[in-house]
Amino acid sequence: MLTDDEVRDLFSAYHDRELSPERTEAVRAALDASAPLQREYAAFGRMLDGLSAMAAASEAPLPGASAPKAADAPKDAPPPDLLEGVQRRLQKRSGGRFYADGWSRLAGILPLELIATLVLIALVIAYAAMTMVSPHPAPAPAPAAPAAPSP
Amino acid sequence: MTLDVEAERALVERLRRRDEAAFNLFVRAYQAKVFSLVQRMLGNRAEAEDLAQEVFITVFRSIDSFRGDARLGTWLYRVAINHCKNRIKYLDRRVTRGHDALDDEGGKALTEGGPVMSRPDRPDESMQGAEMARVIERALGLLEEEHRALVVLRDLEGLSYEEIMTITGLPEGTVKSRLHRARAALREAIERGLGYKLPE
Repeated sequence: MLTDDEVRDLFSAYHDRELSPERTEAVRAALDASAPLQREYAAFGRMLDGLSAMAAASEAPLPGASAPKAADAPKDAPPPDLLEGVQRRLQKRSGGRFYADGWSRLAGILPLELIATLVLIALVIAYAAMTMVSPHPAPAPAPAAPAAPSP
Repeated sequence: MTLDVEAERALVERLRRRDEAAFNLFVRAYQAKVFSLVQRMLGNRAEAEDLAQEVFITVFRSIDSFRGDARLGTWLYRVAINHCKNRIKYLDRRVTRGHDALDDEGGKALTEGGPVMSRPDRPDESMQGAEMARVIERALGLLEEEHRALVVLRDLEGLSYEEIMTITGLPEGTVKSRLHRARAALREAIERGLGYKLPE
């Protein structure tokens, strides 16, 4: 039979189901036999439930969920410019060896799919602009009238 | 986001070549986890924003020391936790952390052992949702950094004992016993802040 202090020392492992079957049974028997220990364990579990609720509250929304408003974003959400900040520091501390060009920074900030879409749209617009020019070539300018013969 | 082993290996290879595009992907994939961990450890958003950037810079510089015997995410947690511990010590030395995190009535009450709020008529209805979270956050800030790290990794980040052993370098028995002490210390800090025992 475990003493009360021994049982208290096993609260964490018991809660996490990290005890051997024999140990688990011993803790369960001790809790069944002692109302004060039961209350202590219940309070301990309540605190861990609070921690779990905190963890769940700050988890990112599931994919496909509507985008949260800025005010609704979890306070543990990273700042939107975290990557930009890292890039700036790396550029500065490497003396310009890394992230020296604007393109490699932009590639990190904008999703690649968005960049590819933008490039495609630009190509389509360029193509449309070329083909929308009148299919008939503009008439050649009229030849200049021959100069009147001098008398 | 969790990469499968092959994708992770390919990413690490690119990171070792200091491939900027790969590093961008890496930061975007892990920034939420790193920031959440750092914010919970420091309890101060401005400090967390600064330190999260430093964590990624450390990875960029020292990815060659990643041997691959743990998952990349676990190694990243280790880098982040070490940064957090150093920053907490630094802030403690500057004696600013206590003021930043606790410079309000509740914080003062916690450090002085007084109640954060008056004892409710029905304690069972007092610890709900956001209120509970606030009390826990304040109490977390009072734990020593080793205890705080264990509670954050296990109870807030949901890591397994095995992952925590890898991150902290502690053997399993030590992780278990210290985690228990950390949770007990957290409970004491919460009850000290509340001014009454946690309801069953």
